[in-house]
Amino acid sequence: MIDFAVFSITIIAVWSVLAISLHLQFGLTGLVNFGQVLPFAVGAYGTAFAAAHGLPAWAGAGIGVTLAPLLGLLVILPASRLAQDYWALVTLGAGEIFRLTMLNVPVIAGGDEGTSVYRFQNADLAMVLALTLLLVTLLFARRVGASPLGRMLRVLREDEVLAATLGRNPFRLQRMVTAASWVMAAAAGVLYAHVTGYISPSSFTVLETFVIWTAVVLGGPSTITGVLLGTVIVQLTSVSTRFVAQWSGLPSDLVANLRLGAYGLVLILVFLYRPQGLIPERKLRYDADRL
Amino acid sequence: MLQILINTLIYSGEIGIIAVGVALSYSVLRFANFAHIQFAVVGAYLAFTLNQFLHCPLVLAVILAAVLTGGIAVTVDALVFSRLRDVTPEGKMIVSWGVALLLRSTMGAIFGSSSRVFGLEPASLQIGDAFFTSLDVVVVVVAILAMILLHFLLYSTRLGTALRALASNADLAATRGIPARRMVSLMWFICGAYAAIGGSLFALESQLAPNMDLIILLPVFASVTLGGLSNVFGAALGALGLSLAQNLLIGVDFGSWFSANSWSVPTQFRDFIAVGAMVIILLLRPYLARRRRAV
Amino acid sequence: MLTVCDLSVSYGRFQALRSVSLQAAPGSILGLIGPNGSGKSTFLNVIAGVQAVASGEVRLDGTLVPLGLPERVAAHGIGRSFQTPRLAHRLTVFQNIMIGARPQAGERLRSLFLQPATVRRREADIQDEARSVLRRLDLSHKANDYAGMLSGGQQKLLSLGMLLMGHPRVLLLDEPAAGVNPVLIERQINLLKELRAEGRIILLVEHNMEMVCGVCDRVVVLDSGAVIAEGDPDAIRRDERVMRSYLGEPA
Repeated sequence: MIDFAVFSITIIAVWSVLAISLHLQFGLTGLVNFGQVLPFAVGAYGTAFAAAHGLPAWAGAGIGVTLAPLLGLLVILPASRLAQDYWALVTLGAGEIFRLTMLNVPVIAGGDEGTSVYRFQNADLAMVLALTLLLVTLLFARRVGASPLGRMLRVLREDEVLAATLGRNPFRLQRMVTAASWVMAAAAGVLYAHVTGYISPSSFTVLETFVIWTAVVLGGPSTITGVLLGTVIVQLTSVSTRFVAQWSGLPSDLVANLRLGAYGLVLILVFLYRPQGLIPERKLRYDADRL
Repeated sequence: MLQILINTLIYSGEIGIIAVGVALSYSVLRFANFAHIQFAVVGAYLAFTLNQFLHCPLVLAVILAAVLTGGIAVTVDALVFSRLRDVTPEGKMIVSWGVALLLRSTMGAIFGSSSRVFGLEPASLQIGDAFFTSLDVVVVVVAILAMILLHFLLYSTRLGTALRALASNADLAATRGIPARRMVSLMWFICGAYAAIGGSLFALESQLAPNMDLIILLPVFASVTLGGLSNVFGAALGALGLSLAQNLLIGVDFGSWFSANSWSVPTQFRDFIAVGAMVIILLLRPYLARRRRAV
Repeated sequence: MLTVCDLSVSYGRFQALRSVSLQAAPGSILGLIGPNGSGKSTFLNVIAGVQAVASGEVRLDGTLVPLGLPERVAAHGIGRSFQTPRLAHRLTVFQNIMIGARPQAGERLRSLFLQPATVRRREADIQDEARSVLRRLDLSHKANDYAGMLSGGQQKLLSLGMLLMGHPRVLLLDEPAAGVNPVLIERQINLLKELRAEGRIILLVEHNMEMVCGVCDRVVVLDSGAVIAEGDPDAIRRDERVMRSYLGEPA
């Protein structure tokens, strides 16, 4: 039971980092990244590449965390100066292309069969590392969100032209947000690889992107507490799938499908009945009368 | 070369029928509907069920599946999309993924994750040194007929006039007394039905599995993007262009250019061309838009 | 001195601006009038850099202003307000005022994490300035309301306040009086006069002739993208040709 709790906390922490990364991109800046799984996969595959080629684990982590923001800047290049429809399409396509590359080029990290990587033998250590990473990202995101930078990112979310006429370069800010949040997601990917000990393309489909989106939309994309709450809810249903299947006697395949269906339903219902999510953005009040 | 052209026609037929629906709904409602991909999968599964379990003749099964999927699309609109007027296009895109996940998991729950085949045995045909099957002929003919019918619907009927009015200016169309609600429902019916036909053709040519959505996702959206997102026949042309590029790259023996060994791009890489084409068009888009304005 | 030289813009075959030239001196308000579609908004867009396609040049005190890059134009001290005010609707009035300040150390990641004291000091200064701008606009009581909840007239005042935070030398105002109640128009007129006294250059696109005649030092009349008349407000009012193009009938 304790083992399960430790594992669950580790997994929730990893996915919380992904959710905070999406919070920075979508919740604050309004960037519709439908390829959020890409930086996560890049982190994981950096690790897998190192393992498959006999490089040390730190080198794999380094590759993943450096490559992700560079790739991010490359991916958003065609989408900058275009509407968010195109942004969504480009990021979605990039995520799928990365997965297909890993699937079809076995030299990188085993292709369809995947690669085994070093797995943390000590589950507690894994949990502590995951929580540390979560804490760092959380503090970073909080600092950004509550700063003048966060304010300008929100302006970008509302109206890019306004930001530009006020003398800001929207694309510089978008690049900055993308680089920073993709580093986070890649770090989460590195950790995820070492927690599960095995990496294959099927863990990084576009559906994973929407598991992150469900958590973020459900909790409230514009607040950190919101995305954390959403992730806890979504990931608890995810890690408990096995138990639900055992307990109900239904095939686990069916339970997994029902879970995915429930995520879809959540996305729909939240937008219909509570578009700001469970925890809406709080109003920042200032004393205007002070002299 | 002839083989490449024939393959191009077949593949663009399957993708094009699906892609026009995305462009049609985008042109009227201004959001990219990702659930459209699932309409194709649902349609294919319905056709499969009708044909294999209820023993409908295949043609009738596909037609019924198209009607039923059209109905599903109309229902989705009534329950979800029509109630999202005040939501931003980004929000609608995200919701469309919600619908997609729901439809996908429903199909997965009912039919399981294993793949299924219709088990047709079409006759082989040959022109010169190019091979194809009678099914391929049917696919291409159906695609062409579907495009002609769509053109007729959009340009020679009241529905088409109304939809184009809605697409260019919804408020103005409303004041002119165009029954927007009914027209939008009809539009969704067409989208669903076309997706179902495209999905069925695709499944007939290969196989049927819940992950068919991931296989058609990129080529469909790349075609729509090539056509300019809101241009229905642009999407069809986009499918044709994309398919040609893919088949050229896969079909041409690049190895023989440089050495005695034959080497061509493996077929798994056709999606790279889809995304690559999309990226190139997007990079050129601001430039193209400026050119058009400046002319 | 703001100097605009031979500005031309066309969309396809339609010529939105035909080699428009004009000058405006510091401490003056230049009115821009003309019928709908005469190119007034296009003109402001080009100077503000929002609109790219143009030939001709814009100089401020002799320095060439880059066209087509709004973020660089703003750095030259040129600010534009829009006919439908552009605001961050889900931020408060106070926050909207604050975003007008420039540059902000706290918008750079490096200073945010390495020089927190600098960021804090700058932020305090911005807040003080925001308070005084709000008082000037008489919007202090709305400071903590969401900008999207304001009336149209208040939104126009707010977007003007946002511009003032950037200390612009040139203000491009697009129909600040349209759809605004007379009390708020009066407040704007007083504000514009104050700004003129501070030595700023103001380009005012406006249909409200009372406002135009009340504050403008000079008026330029545009029709079909070309300047058809220029002079002091009273002379323009007496100009029969202007009145015909503007009102569609002889005065």
